[in-house]
Amino acid sequence: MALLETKGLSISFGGVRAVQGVDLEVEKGEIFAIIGPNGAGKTTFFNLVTGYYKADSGRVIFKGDDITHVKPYHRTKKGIGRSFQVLMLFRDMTVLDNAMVGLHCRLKSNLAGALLRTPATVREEAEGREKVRELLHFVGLDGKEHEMAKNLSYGQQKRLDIARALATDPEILLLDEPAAGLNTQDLASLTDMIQRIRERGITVLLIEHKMDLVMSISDRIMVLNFGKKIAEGTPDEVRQNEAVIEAYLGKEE
Amino acid sequence: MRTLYKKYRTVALLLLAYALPVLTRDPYVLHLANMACIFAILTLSLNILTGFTGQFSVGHAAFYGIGAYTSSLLAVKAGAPVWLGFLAAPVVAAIFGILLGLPTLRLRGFYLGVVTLGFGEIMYQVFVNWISLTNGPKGLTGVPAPRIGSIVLDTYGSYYFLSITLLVLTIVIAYRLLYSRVGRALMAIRENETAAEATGINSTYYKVMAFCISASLAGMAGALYAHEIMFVSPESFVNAESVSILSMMVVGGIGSIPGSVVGAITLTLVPEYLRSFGDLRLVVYGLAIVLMVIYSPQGIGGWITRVDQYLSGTAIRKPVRGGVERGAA
Repeated sequence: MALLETKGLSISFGGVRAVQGVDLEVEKGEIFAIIGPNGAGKTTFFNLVTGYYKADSGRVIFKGDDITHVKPYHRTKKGIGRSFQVLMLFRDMTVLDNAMVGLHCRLKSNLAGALLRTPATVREEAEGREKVRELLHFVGLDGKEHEMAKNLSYGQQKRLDIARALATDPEILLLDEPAAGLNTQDLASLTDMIQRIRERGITVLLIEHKMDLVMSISDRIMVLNFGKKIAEGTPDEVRQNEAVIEAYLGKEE
Repeated sequence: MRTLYKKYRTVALLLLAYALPVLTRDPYVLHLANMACIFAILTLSLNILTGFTGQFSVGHAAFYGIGAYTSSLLAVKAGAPVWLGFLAAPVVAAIFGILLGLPTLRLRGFYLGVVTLGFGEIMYQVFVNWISLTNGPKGLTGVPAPRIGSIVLDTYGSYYFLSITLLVLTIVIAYRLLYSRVGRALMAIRENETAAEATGINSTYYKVMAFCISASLAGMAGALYAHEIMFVSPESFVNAESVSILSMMVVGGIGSIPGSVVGAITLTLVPEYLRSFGDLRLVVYGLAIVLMVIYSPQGIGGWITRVDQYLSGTAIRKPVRGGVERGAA
């Protein structure tokens, strides 16, 4: 059984059919990439999987459960984590607090626990901080805990975004253009990080434009164009696919 | 020196606050001290909604009024014990908070501001026109003073101990809330609701919770006010009062807990000491707020944080919680 599956997933905005009947199966432990020209519907597809958009038709199935009508925050709790293309950090909160928010759905303390500061709450907070520190170390943000998120460099902010998503303890992590805007050095450490994420037992679904990154780490690739799946397969298969070459380079006269 | 400061600053402040009725016996000063406590609770309650959660409210006097009328009516018309009123006021206000929070979930910024303004006006009209219940514009007289055992808190000095205790309670609630899983969820919603949802936060639930907590604290302040003045009338809960609370929050610092307290104290006392300006008083008051917002947008809270950091030698820059979109504030 596939970890994440979509069946005939479609959505239109006005007359624009942004995603049309996309079928996808991502197996556990894969690094799966979605590529396609600008405006192909990749991020829209992510938004359908995470529940930010409601699909016009089609289904999203996660671990065998139909989650098409499940709210976004519930999908997070079920194990779908995501990072954003346009950074959506909590800018006026510390790095530690940003990552702690990611832990939200795994912690249990409620209002009463917080106000009475019960031993269970205090313990849970301490354990949570430990866990988050480990994640900040994992993405290479040691020593930045008390910095405001907005004061981090762009590359650091992208890492924090990933740390926050990892804190939700996902089974599948959706990364939306993690390499966009990164310099060569950051790019190398990102490539390494994505592989280390997989080693933690997390399946990775990736949108990316940097072809060398995609080709070097992906197990399989799906190509979208004008909202439709035009190809799927291993990096080599995709590279040689006629439809893909046409979509990217145009038709030979 | 620094460790001494860090260790004893809270204790020293508490001692000073509780010693006020010993330091002065002037009933006018003590009455102002009570009002400062009441407005500090109101400002903190607004800050939980606006500063922490980013939900704009320009109708906070409504919750204040609901609390005041709840406890007064229970005491005057039903003859219930005063303490029951003190418990009922926050509960009833919280229910109204939920009732206002639910339908306004999709609103933010100015739109939410206008709706809360409307809510404030509606509640004022209810206080004025439901004469059989509220006695209308004439107000309710004979609101009793609370008693502890045989001690009746009927002087401004003795009542002050109740006021300061409830203020300390509110401060503790605000701090514990802020530095908890719930507080982080509220701030995440303020910062970016979409990202908060994607990170696993049920924003509907937490926004309504923020309304509920905020309204209930404002309701408690209402009860505190009613039993201090021993009289309630709709004039205390007009929209201008909501604007005062808003000003206290902005001058104190949006999202700042110490700032809320100092902002409330300042704006309670300043108009009193400006009486010598006569009719110019409100102009000076307004001008002070305008200057404050322009030259110190982080409010008094920003100064306090800086002085505190200097005195305690904190190397880490403590987060100054910047509130809602600065333009909107």
